[in-house]
Amino acid sequence: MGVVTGSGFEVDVVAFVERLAERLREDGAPHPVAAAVALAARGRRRSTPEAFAGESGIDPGFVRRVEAGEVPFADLPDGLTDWLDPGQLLQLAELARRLDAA
Amino acid sequence: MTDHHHPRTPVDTDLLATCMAGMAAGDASLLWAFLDAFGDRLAGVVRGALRDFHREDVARDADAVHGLVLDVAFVLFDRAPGWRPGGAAPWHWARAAVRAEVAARIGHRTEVLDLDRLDRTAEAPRVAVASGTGGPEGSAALDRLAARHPAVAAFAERLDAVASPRDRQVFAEYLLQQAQGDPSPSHTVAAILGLTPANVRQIVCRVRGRVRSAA
Repeated sequence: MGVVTGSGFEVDVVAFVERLAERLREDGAPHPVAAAVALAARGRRRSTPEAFAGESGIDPGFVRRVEAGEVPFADLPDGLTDWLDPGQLLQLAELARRLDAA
Repeated sequence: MTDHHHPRTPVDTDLLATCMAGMAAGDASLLWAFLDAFGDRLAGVVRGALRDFHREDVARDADAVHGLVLDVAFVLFDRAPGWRPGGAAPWHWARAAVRAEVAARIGHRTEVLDLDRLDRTAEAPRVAVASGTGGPEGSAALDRLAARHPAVAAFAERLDAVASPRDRQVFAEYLLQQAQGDPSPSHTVAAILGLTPANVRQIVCRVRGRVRSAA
């Protein structure tokens, strides 16, 4: 399944990721920003983790690890970040710097 | 609560049920899908609540409304296990919780303290409340990140090619404020740099378009 178009409401990626990452961090995720980006990427396609992994050419186990907050933002593969523009990448890198566990 | 926004298309009840079931199971990816599909409905409900609270000023601020829509969506995410398909739409079913979230987020109406009015002998310094920095630092943050991340360096180079130094500063400051969770970055940046929020939005829109065109 490709990217699903919605109602006309354009979700602000950075604002969404920040809110979700804050929650994931409270739940103990070491790398919440990467996890939130992966969840948003999959949400855009309305896919299961397995289907999304197949569509993106990423190992399903790796997708699960990212969504569990085990993978740093800097290690995200293109398949999880190629939908973001450079400005968003900049902001999310800054966000990861602030929120990731030391 | 008055919903002042009336989308023309009917709600896709199957998609709504799928999103809510996924959210009830804790799958946050469905929260994105929910916002993507029903964000316009939430925006209408949020604007209605704001008008009921006599906060037309916030209702007219697109950035603020967007932030509140996200906040309300997380409230519905938390309450998704209690929702049942076939009943009222979640944003109506959880009406009280939605209004409470909006009220909690907007707080009491406030006016900016005009020190010049109180003391006309001196120019009041502008303070970047949201960032706590006392001044703009977006461009410096961009340069720091560019030194460490190749993708950001490429972005900064592209930005330098299409934006004047002032527009670069405005754009970078806007991105920084947004990254820090500022629900209304255009207002904050305007206060920091002595512009109007409309100026800031115009500059950001213009620079963003140029950066994308240059990609």
